[in-house]
Amino acid sequence: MRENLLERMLFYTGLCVTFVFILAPVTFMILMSFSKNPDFLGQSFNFTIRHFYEIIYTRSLHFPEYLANSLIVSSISALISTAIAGMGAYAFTRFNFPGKFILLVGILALSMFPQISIVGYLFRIMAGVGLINTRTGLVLPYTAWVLPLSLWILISYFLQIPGELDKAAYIDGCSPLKTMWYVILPVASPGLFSTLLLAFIFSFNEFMFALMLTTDQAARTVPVGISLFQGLHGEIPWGSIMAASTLTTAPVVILTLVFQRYIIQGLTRGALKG
Amino acid sequence: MSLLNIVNLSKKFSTINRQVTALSSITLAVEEKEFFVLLGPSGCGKSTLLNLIAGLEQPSGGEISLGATIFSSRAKRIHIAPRDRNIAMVFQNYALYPHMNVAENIEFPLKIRGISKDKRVAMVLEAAQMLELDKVLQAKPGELSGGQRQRVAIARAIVRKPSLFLLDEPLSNLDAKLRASTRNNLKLLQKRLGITTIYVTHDQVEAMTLGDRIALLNNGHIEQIGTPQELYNNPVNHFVATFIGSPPMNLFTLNVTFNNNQYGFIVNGTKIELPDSLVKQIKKTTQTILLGVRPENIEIKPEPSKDSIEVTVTGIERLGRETIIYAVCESVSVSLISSNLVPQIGEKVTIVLDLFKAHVFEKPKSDVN
Amino acid sequence: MTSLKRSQDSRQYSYDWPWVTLLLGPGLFLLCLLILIPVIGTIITSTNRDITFMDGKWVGLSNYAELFKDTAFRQSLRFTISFIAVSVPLELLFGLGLSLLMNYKSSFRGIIRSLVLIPWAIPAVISGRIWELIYNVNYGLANYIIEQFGFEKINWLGTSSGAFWAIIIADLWKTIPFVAIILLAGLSSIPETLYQQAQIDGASFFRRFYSITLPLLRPVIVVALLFRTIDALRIFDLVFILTSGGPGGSTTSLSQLGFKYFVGGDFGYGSTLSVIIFLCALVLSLLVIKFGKFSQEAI
Repeated sequence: MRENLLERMLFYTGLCVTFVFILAPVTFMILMSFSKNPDFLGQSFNFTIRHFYEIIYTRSLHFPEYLANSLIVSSISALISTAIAGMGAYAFTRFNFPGKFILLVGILALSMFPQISIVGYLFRIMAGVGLINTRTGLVLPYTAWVLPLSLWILISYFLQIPGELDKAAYIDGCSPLKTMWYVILPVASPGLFSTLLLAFIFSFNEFMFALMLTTDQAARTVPVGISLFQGLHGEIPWGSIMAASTLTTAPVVILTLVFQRYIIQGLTRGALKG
Repeated sequence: MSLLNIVNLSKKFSTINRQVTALSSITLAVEEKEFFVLLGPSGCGKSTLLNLIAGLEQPSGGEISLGATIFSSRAKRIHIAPRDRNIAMVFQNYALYPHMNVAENIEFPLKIRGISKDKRVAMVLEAAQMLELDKVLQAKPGELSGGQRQRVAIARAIVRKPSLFLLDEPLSNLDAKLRASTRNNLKLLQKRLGITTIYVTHDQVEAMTLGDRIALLNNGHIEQIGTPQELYNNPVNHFVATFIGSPPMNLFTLNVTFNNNQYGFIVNGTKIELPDSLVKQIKKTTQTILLGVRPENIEIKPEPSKDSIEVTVTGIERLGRETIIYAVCESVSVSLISSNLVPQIGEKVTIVLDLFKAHVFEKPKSDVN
Repeated sequence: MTSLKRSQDSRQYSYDWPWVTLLLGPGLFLLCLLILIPVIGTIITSTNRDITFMDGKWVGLSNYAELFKDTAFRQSLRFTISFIAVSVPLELLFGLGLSLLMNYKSSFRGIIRSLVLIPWAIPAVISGRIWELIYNVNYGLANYIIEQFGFEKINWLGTSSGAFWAIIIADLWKTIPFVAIILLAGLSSIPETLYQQAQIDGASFFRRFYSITLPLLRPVIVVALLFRTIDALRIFDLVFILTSGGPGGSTTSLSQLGFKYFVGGDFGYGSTLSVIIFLCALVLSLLVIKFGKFSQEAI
């Protein structure tokens, strides 16, 4: 009984510390975005929505363009990479070919490459084909970059679908492609959804490629925009930066909280192979 | 001419470090409208054979043909894909599409083959009524009972009137009671529709009750093909003899002695002579034989006689109408079925073997038993 | 379960090839074009003098020789290694604690599982900016709290040790949840009956943790450790935002140094540095493959 109490005390202490540690920075961000003055701690808090108005309506800040770029680039990258990974996972789990295992391990290793080891040369390739500072120039590397992870997650989902289902589809008159389309993909739809979500979030949060491959609002994404956000007059405009951060964070966090189950599944499968 | 012909079929699997022969020199013919059972212990290759017939796997050698159409032939480099064979299959776990409801599941093979919507609806309804599924057409497989799922799988298979109907242990996931009634219905359905059927099972009772003919497989080859009665009454070797029938046939390893123009053997001091019908089957050179006697051909006698053997009872299984009795004699165990006399465990009783209904087999080179 | 490794007649491959090509083609094409070729290109570039507005020339391994004499490289190597050495163990320690909290049966279970995803989901750049503000000397949350406890204000980002710990704490905020989620998957795969049995046997809470949880969790911990090490090795976003490598270059990560060279137009030297980071990551990822459940048998 006494031990049970100790266990509970430990749990609730841990819980409180976790809540505070996780939520304090987020709360601070939100408060700052609504505060007239940045030094409200220990002083009076004056509510304003001026910062939000500023970042949305000040043309020279280009925040809406950045946000649009981010959303478009991440959505397209997520869709393409999930589609390609779906096909690849089907090939890996349903067909035999020599070198399959080596190829799979190779792709897994690719996903662990540091971005810095390709960003320099990628810049040259993109410059060579005139894709610097275009959305396409971001969609391409993003798609390739999240592909190994997407593939890995989907393979773990596809492996759980019994092979009898494929056989039944073959006998019912399906070609391999029809089997994939009518049977495997629909059955794996929760997995496809997790993959799509993760690919979107990874692309949305990406920084180094976007920093290297974009030059202005034509393709620049929110993370780059916010990192370079210096304001118009000397002093760092914390209110505006935090307003932009709040606006950017909101869709990702809402998406994450609503689809929590899918994200956790995707993450653990990606890392641990289900 | 038979409908399905399989000639000298073989299948090898290669893993990283070795080759495994799953099937070798399989030759069999299935007649039109026949209910043909592939029977064998697990790992004997019966499911592989079914997959080869379905086209899900390619043979390493030999040929499979249906009527005049060659399905698979290694030598002629022919392999027709499963979708072009017009066969249907029911799987052990039913393999229903979990994202489709019952109607969509049954409709799926028709839809893929491009049959018009009106026709499809009528065909689905017909199949569903035949299997009493018309009340659950809108349910998803996950909401159905095991028996219903099994019937959906059968409905999906018969809906397009296949030329060959393959079943892979379709009853093994049902409980015992349901299994018996489903078995019955399946047989009736098959006769009514007249579809040539190949049925895989490891259960000899299923095989005996369902099959017009049975092919008994072991270790990748066919031991015997025949009607259930042929397999039961005239097993060609000790494997067939012990696999068919429950409890299995007793096998005694005997050293036969030849004397006074009679073969005989001595057990526990009793000298027993073999009847001429069995002697004819023994090669003159062999001395060690396997004598097979089914449990129902052994009788307990109240009084010892000239050819009776004394045994000690070690176990009793009461099945109601009859009782299975296990006994030993000189460390050889024997089982028999008795319907009237039931001794106690540990009791000594005398038994008599009905040697006119016994079988003689050659002793296998490597003792499998 | 379908298996990736299905023993098959090797001759069946010819039947599968068209499908495999069709299905894997697009993905492999993309990966080759946008990842493999750049990596190879980077390796080749690293053996060249390749600076914007200057004539290129092949210099063999002299970039590498130069790199090891370079004090900026040594400094960033030292920072990156210290960062890994401090952050990864802390992440695992706190991550393990958090995963235990997440696995504990209570009415908060759902909330806490959602909550931990927030830091993970927020873009690193934004969390960098939030922490930059928290560390602000005059109106940051960090100094406000410190002052409440009666301590002197700290110039977090202005001193090397302050900046180092500032980065560590901000990094922990974002990565502990990730580690916890990975470990939680391992925890939930430990059968409940084991704990019940241990409880019947009279094992205390700590004993159960030490004798059941830890040993059974070990493979997952090793994988998380390697994953995090690889990730820490390539740290860029957070440092770029929080300190830009300062003060005095004391918090410049390897990735950031490489990036500086690329932006400055020195592609040859930047590539050399990138190859070094790449090789470290490669060794670590081979370890992941070895220690993870990625052996052929498991698949």
